[in-house]
Amino acid sequence: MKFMLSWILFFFVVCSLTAETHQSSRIIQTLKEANLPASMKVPFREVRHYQLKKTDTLFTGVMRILPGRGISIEYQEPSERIFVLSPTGLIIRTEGKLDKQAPEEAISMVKVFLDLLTLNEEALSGNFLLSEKIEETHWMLTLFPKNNELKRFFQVIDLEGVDSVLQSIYIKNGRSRWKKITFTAAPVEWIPTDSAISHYF
Amino acid sequence: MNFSLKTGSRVAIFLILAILSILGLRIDWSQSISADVFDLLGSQQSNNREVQKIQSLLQNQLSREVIFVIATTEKTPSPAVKSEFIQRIIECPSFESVSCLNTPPAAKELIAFLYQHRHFILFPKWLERTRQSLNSSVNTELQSVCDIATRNLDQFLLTPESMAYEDHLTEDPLLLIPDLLNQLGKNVTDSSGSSLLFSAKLVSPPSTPGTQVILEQDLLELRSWLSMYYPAHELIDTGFHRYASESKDLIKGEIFRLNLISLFVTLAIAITLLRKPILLLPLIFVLVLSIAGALVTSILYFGKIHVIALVIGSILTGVAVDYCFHLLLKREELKQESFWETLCMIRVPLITSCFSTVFGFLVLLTNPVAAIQQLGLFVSVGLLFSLLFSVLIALAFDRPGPWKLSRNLNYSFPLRRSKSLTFGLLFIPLCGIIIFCFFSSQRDDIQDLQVPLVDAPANEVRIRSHFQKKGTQSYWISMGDSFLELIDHQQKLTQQISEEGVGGILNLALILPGSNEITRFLEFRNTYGNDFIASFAQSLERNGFDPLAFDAFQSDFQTFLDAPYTMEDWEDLGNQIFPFFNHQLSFLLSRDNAGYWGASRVQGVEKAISWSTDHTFELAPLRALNHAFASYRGNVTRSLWYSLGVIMMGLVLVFKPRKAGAILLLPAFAVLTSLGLLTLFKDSFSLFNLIGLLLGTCITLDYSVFISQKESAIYPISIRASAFTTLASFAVLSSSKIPAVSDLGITVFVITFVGLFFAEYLNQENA
Repeated sequence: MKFMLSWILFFFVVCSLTAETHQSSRIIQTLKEANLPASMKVPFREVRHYQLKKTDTLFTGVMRILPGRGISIEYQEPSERIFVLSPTGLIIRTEGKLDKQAPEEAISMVKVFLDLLTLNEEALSGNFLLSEKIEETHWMLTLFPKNNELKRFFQVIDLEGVDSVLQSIYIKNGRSRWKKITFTAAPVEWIPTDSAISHYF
Repeated sequence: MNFSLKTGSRVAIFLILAILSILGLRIDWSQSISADVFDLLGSQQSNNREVQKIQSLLQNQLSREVIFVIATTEKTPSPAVKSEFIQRIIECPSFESVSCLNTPPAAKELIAFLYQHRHFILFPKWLERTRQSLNSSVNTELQSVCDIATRNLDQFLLTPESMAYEDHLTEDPLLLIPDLLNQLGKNVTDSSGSSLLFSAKLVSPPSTPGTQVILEQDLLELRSWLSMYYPAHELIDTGFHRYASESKDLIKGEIFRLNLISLFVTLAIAITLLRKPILLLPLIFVLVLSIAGALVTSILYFGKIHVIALVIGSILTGVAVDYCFHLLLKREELKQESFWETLCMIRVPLITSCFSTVFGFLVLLTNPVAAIQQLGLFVSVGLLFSLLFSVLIALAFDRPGPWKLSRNLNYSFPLRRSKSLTFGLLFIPLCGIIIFCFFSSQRDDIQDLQVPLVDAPANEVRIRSHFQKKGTQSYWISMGDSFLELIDHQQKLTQQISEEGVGGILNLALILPGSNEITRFLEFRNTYGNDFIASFAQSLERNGFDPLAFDAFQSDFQTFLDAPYTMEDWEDLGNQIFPFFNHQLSFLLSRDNAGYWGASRVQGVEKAISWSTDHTFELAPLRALNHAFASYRGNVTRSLWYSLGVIMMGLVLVFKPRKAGAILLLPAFAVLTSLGLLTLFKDSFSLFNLIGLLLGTCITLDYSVFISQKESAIYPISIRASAFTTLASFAVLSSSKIPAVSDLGITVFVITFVGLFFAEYLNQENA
């Protein structure tokens, strides 16, 4: 009997150790319950800070999310570009020039953004340690990369918001470099035409 | 006597057969017959440097490349198919490497090397480009260069994609690597979104025995895998293997068709002309053994012969039976009791006609074109065996008594001679040569030796439709005894193209410095030295940057400036950088015994422009090979004149000069008239028309010799039998899809026909 119990106990301990721990996040659950349209667009402002430069660089544009296609980030100022993020990688589109495909090393970074903006909790908790801070309506979700490959791109990612609205994404890279993407308005539903899909995706 | 002659002949036949069989068994038949276009021409050493380089490139590199396209009916290919397909290719025994063309060339190691030595390799070029954009005096040059660099950095940070290079900015504020990638990226091949493009390299060329079979098996397995796991995707491939495979299949089919029909027609005519069908047996025997003897001898001599020689060698089926006909039918004509007596009477014309043709064709061995050498030996040895076996078989199976063998051959020539007609006929050859001289043109196309392909070119067009190319593109090969000399030649080409403003160019000279740039950099270093770093720091400060953040760059650059580099160090760069240029990149830089060479890809040039120099030429294989082929025309023409000279000398030696001259009149009339007739119906003459002239001359010479040696007024019926079979077999040849073969066939057909006509008419004159 004791022998059987010890084996059963051993079995459960081993299983619990080897099973993947899925870290759930209240914030992500809250964001999911926001009932946002599946296909949407939202204007953003991106600030990049470099230690080597005394002033920060500001980008503005519009982000579009289309299920099945991925995410299209349309930079409008100071340079016009379209970044198309999809499971196959990153395409950089410049008007009047051929599309450029980013190297395969960029796929892991692209995947993080896709998981982030589509609130793929399982993938995020698999790649990051999640830390939540909630103060009344204001919240902050911090992601610490677990593996070295992601640490090359991100030191830490902070998602900040109020209630069920994601307001900003702060990404800190090494060597005093960081980026902050702030959504300047609430996302609205986007019903694209075929030509719009061709243009942005 | 007869018994010993008969026995001796049979023993001789047996011995020859035994020797041929033993020799034939020693041959590795799978490797003895080539369908490779490279084996058609002479050895590489006999060609000029340009053709040598192109032949080498075609054989060693281009022929080993296979392009794959995975097309899909969906919007984009499945994400996993690319990596899985690459893995599958690597596992195939046929391939040694593969890369995807949708992304920039797999050059990570090269980029890493360039980054590590970026100041040494890339700075001189960067400096030259920057200084060219200046509009300042010498005094402010340094400051201007630094300001431009700082402005470029600022502009770069204003692009969203600059985040990909953030880690390296403090080490490379001059943006040497992004500038390099920008230069290369202007000419990167792109594809439509619905297809994936791959370039794979074969372990060995498709012409290597066994490679084609294994390759076909691998392609079949790849297609099966793709259709099973990714049904919405389709695999298309192209490369030299497609052309080689289709060409080989078509030529094999052509050989079979031509030889079979020619043999059938020859034997059908023989049955029609001979009373006893059993006489076909010796004819077949002579034919088969002549061809077998010619094949074994040629392969033993050359090691390997091209299949085109076999195709053209099918002319033996029409001419090898001639000596057999002469022996068989002369016995009836001369009313002899045995073949031995017949042979004694006709030995002079028989040997003269055979050896004149044999020596005439042996002279072709001196020709640099491999295919023509092989043809020369094949035909001459075949005819020798034909004579030998005709004599031996006739003697081995001789039976005493009169023979009546022929039928349908004793017809009367419909044209009656008259003085006016004779006079008129004399003008025909004259008109013929005038027409030929004034209206004929030459054609030298290596593709004449190939069966026109259909499937492979159509497949190629389909493949190319998946490449989004800007207009046309061409490749230019530059060569240099040294690495810097190669770069200098490429720079001259780049400058020429830029000045003409016709298109974009991709080559090493875009990124690597030439000797002038290095010289100017060394002068810059001597002039400004350490001032550059300080000036750059000031410029950074002025433009809103923190100079202290660039310590890594300053330290590294200082080390670079302090190093005692000379021109030899940049020359040695060729040795260091060369190992990185493999597979797709090997075209940009390669080296051989003669030195370095590299390709420039020029895009967007719609019309043909020549930028050729002693060190630069366009990679246009067909044109280069055709030029080589055309250069052989002079050799071939000389060979033909030598052949005719040998024949004439032989005739003079055997007969008296006056009689030799009379004998030569018939072939001369036939050839000159035929030249005129052919010019009226053909737009151009190839090398194989010239060879047909030689053969036609020899055939009509045979007729002339036999007519001159006839004992009675009766027209030699053996000539008619010989002429009919020759006409039939060459009519078959003239129907060939291979232009070279049809040229030869129609030329010999016309000359033989005209020769027969003149022979019949002249015989009327003698009656």
